[in-house]
Amino acid sequence: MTIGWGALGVASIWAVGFVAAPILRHLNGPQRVGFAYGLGLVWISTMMGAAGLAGLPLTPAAGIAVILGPAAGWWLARAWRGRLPGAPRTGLGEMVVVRDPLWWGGATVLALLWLIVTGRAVLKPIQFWDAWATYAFKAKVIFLEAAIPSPALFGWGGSPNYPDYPLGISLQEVWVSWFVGSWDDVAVKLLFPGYLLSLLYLAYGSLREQWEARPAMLGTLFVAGLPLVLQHGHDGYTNLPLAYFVFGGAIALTRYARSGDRRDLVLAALFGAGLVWTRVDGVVFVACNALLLLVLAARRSPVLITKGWVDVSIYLAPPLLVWGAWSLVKLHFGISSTFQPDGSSVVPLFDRWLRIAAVFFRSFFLDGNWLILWALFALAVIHRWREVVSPQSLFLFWPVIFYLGGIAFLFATTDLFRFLEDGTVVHRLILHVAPLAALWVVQVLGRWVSERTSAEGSRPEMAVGRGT
Amino acid sequence: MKPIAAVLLAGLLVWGVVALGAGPLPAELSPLKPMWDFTGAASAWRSSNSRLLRTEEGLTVAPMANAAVISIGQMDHDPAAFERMHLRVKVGDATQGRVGLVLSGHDGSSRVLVPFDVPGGGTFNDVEVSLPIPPRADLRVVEVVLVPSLAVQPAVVASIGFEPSGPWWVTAVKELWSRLPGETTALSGFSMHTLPPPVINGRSVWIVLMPIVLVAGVLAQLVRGNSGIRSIVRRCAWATAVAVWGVGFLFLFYHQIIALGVDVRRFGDRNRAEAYHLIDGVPLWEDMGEVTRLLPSGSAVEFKARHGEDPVVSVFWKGRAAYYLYPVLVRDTAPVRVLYFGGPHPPCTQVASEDTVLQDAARYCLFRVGT
Repeated sequence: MTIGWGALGVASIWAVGFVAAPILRHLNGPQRVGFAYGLGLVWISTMMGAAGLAGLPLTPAAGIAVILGPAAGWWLARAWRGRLPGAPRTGLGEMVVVRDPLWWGGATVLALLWLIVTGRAVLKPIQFWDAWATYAFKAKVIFLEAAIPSPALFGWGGSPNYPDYPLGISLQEVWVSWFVGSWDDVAVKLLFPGYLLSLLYLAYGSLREQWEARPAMLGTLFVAGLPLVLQHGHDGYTNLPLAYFVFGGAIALTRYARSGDRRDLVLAALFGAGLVWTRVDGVVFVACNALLLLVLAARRSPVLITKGWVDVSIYLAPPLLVWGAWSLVKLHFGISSTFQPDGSSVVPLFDRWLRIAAVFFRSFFLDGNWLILWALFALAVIHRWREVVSPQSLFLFWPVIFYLGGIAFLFATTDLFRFLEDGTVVHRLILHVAPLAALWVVQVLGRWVSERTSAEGSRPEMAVGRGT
Repeated sequence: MKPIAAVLLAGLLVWGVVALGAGPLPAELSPLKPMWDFTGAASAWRSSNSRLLRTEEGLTVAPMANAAVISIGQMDHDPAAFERMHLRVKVGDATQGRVGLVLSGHDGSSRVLVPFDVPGGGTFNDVEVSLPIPPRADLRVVEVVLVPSLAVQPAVVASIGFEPSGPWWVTAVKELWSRLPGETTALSGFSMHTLPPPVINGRSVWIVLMPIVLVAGVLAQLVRGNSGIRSIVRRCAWATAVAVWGVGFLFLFYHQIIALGVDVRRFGDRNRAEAYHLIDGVPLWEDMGEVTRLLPSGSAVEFKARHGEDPVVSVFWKGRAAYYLYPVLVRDTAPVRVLYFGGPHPPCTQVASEDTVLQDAARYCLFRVGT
């Protein structure tokens, strides 16, 4: 029964997210489903955080009212004025009219994989260290205290439980617990299959926008075929959530780069807030995307650089608000960052870089985490290197490079190096950009296939042309 | 320029894959060819009657009084992997050695002990031994024991590896089809950090498949033109890459199903208390629930784990206890202390005579600090 209530709590996240209809209605059905989850989570985390900061009690009744109240009010107001969003441009129904056994086979495989992940999630309590020690523990405290207490409280036995980590995931777990009525660390795990499902919907929706149904489904299978991503769908780490917000933000910015529709920029900005809510290194992606927005504007025309600064301002506003508020809270409680510069060398020794390269190489090509993703990524870079600065690749490719280069640098120059060879960190950091890299590879290969079939004579049933 | 770059990159990646993947996987990830290479990573082997020192040559075993016995300790492995042993060892004087397996089955434990000759001379020798494993499906290997020299003399063990007897291709198929990666996905505490690859010849299968993908990808780029043969070569190259991805995806699906099966078997018919007991190894959730009921909300308690010499378990118990106890807070010092044994223990009055016993439970003592 608690699982049922937990599922209702997770479903409500979508309901909250769909309230943001004005910035979703120009998207296709799968994209709306994929983005709605993230918007709901950002809204819930932000309202709960704000309520906590304002000293309001974080009880189920007060909390749900504060969070659902504005959403319900908006719906009522729009309905009263007769201005509820009309029939969307493309509906969810388009997914089920595909009469293609291969498409249905792919969809079945995806559904089975997701069901396996969800089944594993609900069979057992939170099991893995960080999931309970760093995030669920804080969520339990917030739930039982009905408030966000001093982060110092989160330490146990004298050792800090990373009190500087953002509280997004913990607040989301509290939200689900409100529906259950008690702290239940099985029910709260349902959040994570939700993240996985939304990521897959985003992948399919993004590909379906450009291609026919069958190749879009095959591409989604490629994005789903990342073993470590699936593993993270069944327990409460923050790596899959961050990967989801990275993925969604990149898709929104790519749409903005192609269409110039400001709704996509706002969507990306809200997902930027999601990045900052989820993990400290979310800030890296926000900074990268802001820089790329300037590059995009400059590429179009140096005269439009002013527009670029306006875009950056719009994009940075939500994440800066969240990050700024959290920074003030940390300052108030005297919480410092978990990671400190190593200080041993400004320019790390060559052998340290060699060891970093070896660990990354082994993760990319020899472990059981990514199948052949990174081999195809490397080949795609060589094959289509001119595309990497095109609007369709800018926000898919460069965040991957920026982030991987950034974490390699951090491994070399901070005390993160001590975690390098024990394998407890590096693969999970790569996970943040793996789905995005997979989407880029799929799109590059898809364009290559399309060019080849055009050159050799097309086969209509495998057309990778513009979707309807 | 692009074809040259593609060839160079692919060549570099293939070299990297082969160079880094040539070494055997850790023994616990190799279903049928567990191997311990003592010249590389730290060893998990222990000895109660000798000193062990890891050097570039391998593991130096220095007996203290009697013939040195080294052991890998607790493990859980398919005995089919232990039908043949390859040992690389160096001793001064020729001697005999012993290799032993401790097997666990439905009717308890049994042992297999096999002697072998070790040539002397102070140089490394490769020793091959066949082990007679009983053909029973219920058996598991729970410990491996090695006496590198019956003569009381130092020995240096460079590596010890095991494999099944029988044709190499049968072993290869069994390795690829092994449930071990899926079971590790479900059981290993490390599986949220990284997942084991499918295995062949004790190594990641990607050492074979990744070069195929890289070569196929480069071929597909290098072969230009639309003439019949070129088009066929290009299509075959991409089909090969797609096929390799398909094989990898099948492995992914297979291992996910196995992981689900393991989770269903372990947790499917257990209630919450039993599930926590399975995760923690002890009924910590139940016990801390009792403590929570004995103490007022918001009060502070010290938690001390008494689990032998293993600090990892102690830290784990303490962390989990703090999670379970909240809103009772775990602190370094507090007026109330929990001494957690996880099992039978001496009477609490004997454990800490200077403290007041509040509760003498089956697996823990609760004290008010001081009399």
